[in-house]
Amino acid sequence: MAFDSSIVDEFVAESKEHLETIEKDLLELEKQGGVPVPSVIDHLFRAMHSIKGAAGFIGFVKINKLAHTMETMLQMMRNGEITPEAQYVDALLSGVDLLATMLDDAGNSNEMDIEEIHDRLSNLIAQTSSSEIKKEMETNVSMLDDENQKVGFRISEFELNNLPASHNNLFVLKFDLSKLAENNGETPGTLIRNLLSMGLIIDGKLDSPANDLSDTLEDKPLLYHALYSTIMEKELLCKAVNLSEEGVIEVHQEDLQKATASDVVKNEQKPPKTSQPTQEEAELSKEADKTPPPKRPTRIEPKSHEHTDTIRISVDILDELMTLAGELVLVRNQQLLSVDKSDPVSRDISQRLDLVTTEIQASVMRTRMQPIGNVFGKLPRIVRDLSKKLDKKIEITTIGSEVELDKTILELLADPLTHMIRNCCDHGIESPEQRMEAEKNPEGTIQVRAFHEAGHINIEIRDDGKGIDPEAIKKKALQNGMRTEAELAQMNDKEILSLIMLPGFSTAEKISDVSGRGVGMDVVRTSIEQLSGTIDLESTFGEGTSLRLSLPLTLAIIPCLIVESLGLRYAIPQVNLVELVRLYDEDIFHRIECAGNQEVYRLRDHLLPMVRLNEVLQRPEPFNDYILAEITSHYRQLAKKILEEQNAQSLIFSVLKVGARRFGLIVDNVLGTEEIVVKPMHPAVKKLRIYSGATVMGDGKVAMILDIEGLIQHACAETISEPEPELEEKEQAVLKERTQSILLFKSGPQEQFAISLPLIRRIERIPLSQVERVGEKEFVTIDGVSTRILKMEQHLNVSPCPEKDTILLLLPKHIKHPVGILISNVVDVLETEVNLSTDSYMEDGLMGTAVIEDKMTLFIDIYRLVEKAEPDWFIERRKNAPSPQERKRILLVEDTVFFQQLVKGYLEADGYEVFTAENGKRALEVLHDTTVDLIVSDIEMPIMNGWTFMKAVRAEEALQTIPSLALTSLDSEIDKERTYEAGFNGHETKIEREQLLVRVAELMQIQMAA
Amino acid sequence: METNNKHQFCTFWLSERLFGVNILDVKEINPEVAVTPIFHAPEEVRGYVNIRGQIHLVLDLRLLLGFEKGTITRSSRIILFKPTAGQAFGVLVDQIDDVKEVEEHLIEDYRIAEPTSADLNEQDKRKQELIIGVCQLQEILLVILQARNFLKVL
Repeated sequence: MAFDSSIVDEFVAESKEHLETIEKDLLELEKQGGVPVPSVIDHLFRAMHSIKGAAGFIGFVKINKLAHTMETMLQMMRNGEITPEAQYVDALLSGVDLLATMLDDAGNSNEMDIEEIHDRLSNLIAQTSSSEIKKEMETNVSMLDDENQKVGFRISEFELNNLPASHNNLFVLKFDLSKLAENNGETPGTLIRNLLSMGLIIDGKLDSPANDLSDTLEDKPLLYHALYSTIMEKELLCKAVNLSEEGVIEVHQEDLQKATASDVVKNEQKPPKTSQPTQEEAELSKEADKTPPPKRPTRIEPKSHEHTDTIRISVDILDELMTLAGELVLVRNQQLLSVDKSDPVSRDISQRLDLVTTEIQASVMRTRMQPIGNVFGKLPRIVRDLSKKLDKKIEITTIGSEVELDKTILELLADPLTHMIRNCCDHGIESPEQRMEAEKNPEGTIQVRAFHEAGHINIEIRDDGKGIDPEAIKKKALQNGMRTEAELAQMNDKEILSLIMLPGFSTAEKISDVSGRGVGMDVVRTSIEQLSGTIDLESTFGEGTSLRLSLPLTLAIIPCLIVESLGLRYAIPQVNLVELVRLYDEDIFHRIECAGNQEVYRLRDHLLPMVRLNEVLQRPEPFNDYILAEITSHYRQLAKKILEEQNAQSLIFSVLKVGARRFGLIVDNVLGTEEIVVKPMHPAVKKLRIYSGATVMGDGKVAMILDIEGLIQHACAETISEPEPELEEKEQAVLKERTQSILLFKSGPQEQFAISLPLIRRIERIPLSQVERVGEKEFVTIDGVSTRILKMEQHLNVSPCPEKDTILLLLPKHIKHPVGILISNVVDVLETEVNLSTDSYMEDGLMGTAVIEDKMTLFIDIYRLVEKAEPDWFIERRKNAPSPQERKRILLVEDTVFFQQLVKGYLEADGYEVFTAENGKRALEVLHDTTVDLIVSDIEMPIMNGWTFMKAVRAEEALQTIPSLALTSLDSEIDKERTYEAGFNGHETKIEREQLLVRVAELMQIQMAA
Repeated sequence: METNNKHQFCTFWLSERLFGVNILDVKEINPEVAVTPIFHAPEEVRGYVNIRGQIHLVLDLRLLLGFEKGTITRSSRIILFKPTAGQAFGVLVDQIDDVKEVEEHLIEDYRIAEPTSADLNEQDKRKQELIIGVCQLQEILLVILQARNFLKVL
């Protein structure tokens, strides 16, 4: 059988590829507007023509007809008769869709109804085409061969005129398909491809005794006649298509005869009219004169490579190839070892084998990878259609189309990605009117970006639409009974946003056919999780939403740095790598410092925590303070010893980044970079977080690929337990013993003031007109609350703040009553070392003075200042405060000098006697020397933290009953629990003066009661 | 029990004792013992090995059965299993022996108690799952293991 299903399959697959490029090109055309770029329209035209030709060949008449009409429209665009406006592109796109549907069931395509779209296209063509074209289209040309016999083909004059200019030779080719295979081993598919690479199949027909193609019997000839236009001469063509001279009949343009459509319909036998001197005829002959057939032997050049640049191969074969390539590498390696290097011939062969093998391995590995652009390419069409449907203006940009993903992942990714884009269009981007109101560009944008990071492929979808309202989600979650009010109150915005990925959640107020049926994001999440990826949602209400997918590479090839530790090789994904640093001799001891029990290195003013790969590998349990201290002291001693012995040594580490965090990873040796194939971890060891996979190295040995994020989590458990600590925060923690972030500001023209930044809620700018006076006091409404304006000059001996049209109010944190301090301007926010002194100048309401940027600066005690201004607010606590005679003693344990002074000041102002210690260890010593009534302790401290300290306190009989209060910036539930477990009686968050003093007083009562 | 029902076992030595697994579960025996250790993995996991481009997980069968960890010698081999026994893995054995044919009625059930019994310690429970029977050959006792449970007991 000549036409088995394989040829149809091939036709379908090829046509689908064409359709994809057609769709892309159409959108491109529409975007460009105006007269189309020749290269694009030519490409489009060719693609459409190939579909038409092949469909005609196989006998899919409906596909052929539709493609033909679309081709006609494209032709008009090419000639500049119509511009690619929306109405045409719409019609063409719907044609593309219909063709795609027909191709899905090509066998039955002849039964499909194409009238609607066909008519739409034809009408558009009819409306716009000039009368001349209409006439050309209606005029059929009949052709005669050398013997003046009709060739049996009829084409419209329009088509004839629009053949490529170089195609001045027309032939009728006669093939016997049933013999094709015997003679040349060709299939009809390869035949078509061959023909299309050299010219155009204008029309084709099958001459078969059987009605149905599948009935065709092997022994009967299956004749295929094709009307073919090409640049080639007859002689050459015969060779190229393997036909004898008889099989190729030249059709002379001079012999072209015209017959009007009606004539043909009426009477086929009627001799063609020859005596119709029309303009067209004149044109035809003119054209023939202009370009005489070239007589030189033409080299057969493939017209375009689009027909041959892809083939379809079963994935199984590729997998097998991959395995075999691996084996080849091993054989190569063995050969390299056994080769006789003294023999130049065999050495040469061996080297070539080496090279070729490497290249084979590399190429084979790439076979499974496909650029993500294959999926991205479909998005513009979706967005275009949706924006029309929803009456919105949306622009989509895609970045990173070249990023390669494993084929399997790519296929599974298409649906969720489409869904998310639909969501963006429907829920995200507002209507142009709404956008104008919000002072946004009426055209919304969606940006889709793909990139490699941390051994994963990330896809980010960002829109600048209305964002997601957390309140709406809360409401919805309550309504649906998915979460209780109490649960919601505990969640932060990000957690609330993630609710929309639960099944049955949809915030769309009305259900549209675009999205919003409550089967949205949960399906997306499930499919992404099936790919063992993660999805992350961020949204700023009013500004936009960003979705971030993170997908594993599975088989992706990633460039890696190969390092050595404990005699084994490890791969570090290049995306995590920032730089490499090598230290020599005494630098190892001096430049790597200790901050608490963490080794750090100061790299260009940034503190990098140092992690030792060998220690991480040898310790399966996540690091804690104890382990960190052990490692640090071990290596400090080691480095010191070597330094003393004056042995030459060197140390190398790689600076790695994960998100915003950076750290240094100390390795034994760096071997170089290599592109490696990521193989997933075996399920039995998948839960190990420090690896993201394994790979086979060139020598056949397996090396592990490090998961840098998992690694840092393993190595620095303490710092990671806080939610997303930025590097800055971590550095700050390291530096906090010395520095403070402070706000410098002015009130009167003379003095410079400062306040600790963490004590400030925000600074508000208010027009003077809004200030209201009640007696001597001034108020302003902020956040719906009347707020007392506090002028410093009324309570401190400082110059007055000048009156201005707008005033600045500094709103402090942790004060029950609303109050704002009037300031004139903010000087700076800086991170600096503060050495408070009370010697040079001091007054009630100040904490002291310090020299900041060469200026004397007054540090405000904000709570004392408020207390001075509104003593009535504090009456209640005063009653509880102990009378000075009792002189209760408090031990204050706090490592930050600044906070130590601050808290000490508060406590002393309330009449307590305060002892201080800068860490738990020191505090224990103090406790052995002195008896105290209460312990107030920080948690995060170097050497011995608050928890450990309190456990030690409670372990001693004599100290068991001393009440204690933890005063810390840690405020998660887990931390609180740990605090109480350690033996503290209370947990207060830094640093609310009132609350602190009330709790201190309460705990004193407990002690008295005991 | 039916007689004349014969089973073939791939036999090997561990700590000077003879063990066997159903030959239908075995894919191949490989002398490649260049195993890359996986730190943080359970100690019974010997590491990864590359067999013709495919990475396989290698378990130390000695440790799995509660013997001391052995050393790799010239006679050490890795028995790789078919997917029916678990995904891409093999076990390290001291030395390989013949394929032995045993009639089913000669195999005695090893299980002395229910695997869930509370009297058993962890190691015994594990053995209950791994050892499915014993069989007295002419001079030596053959212990028959269930390869399909090797990965499960990890």
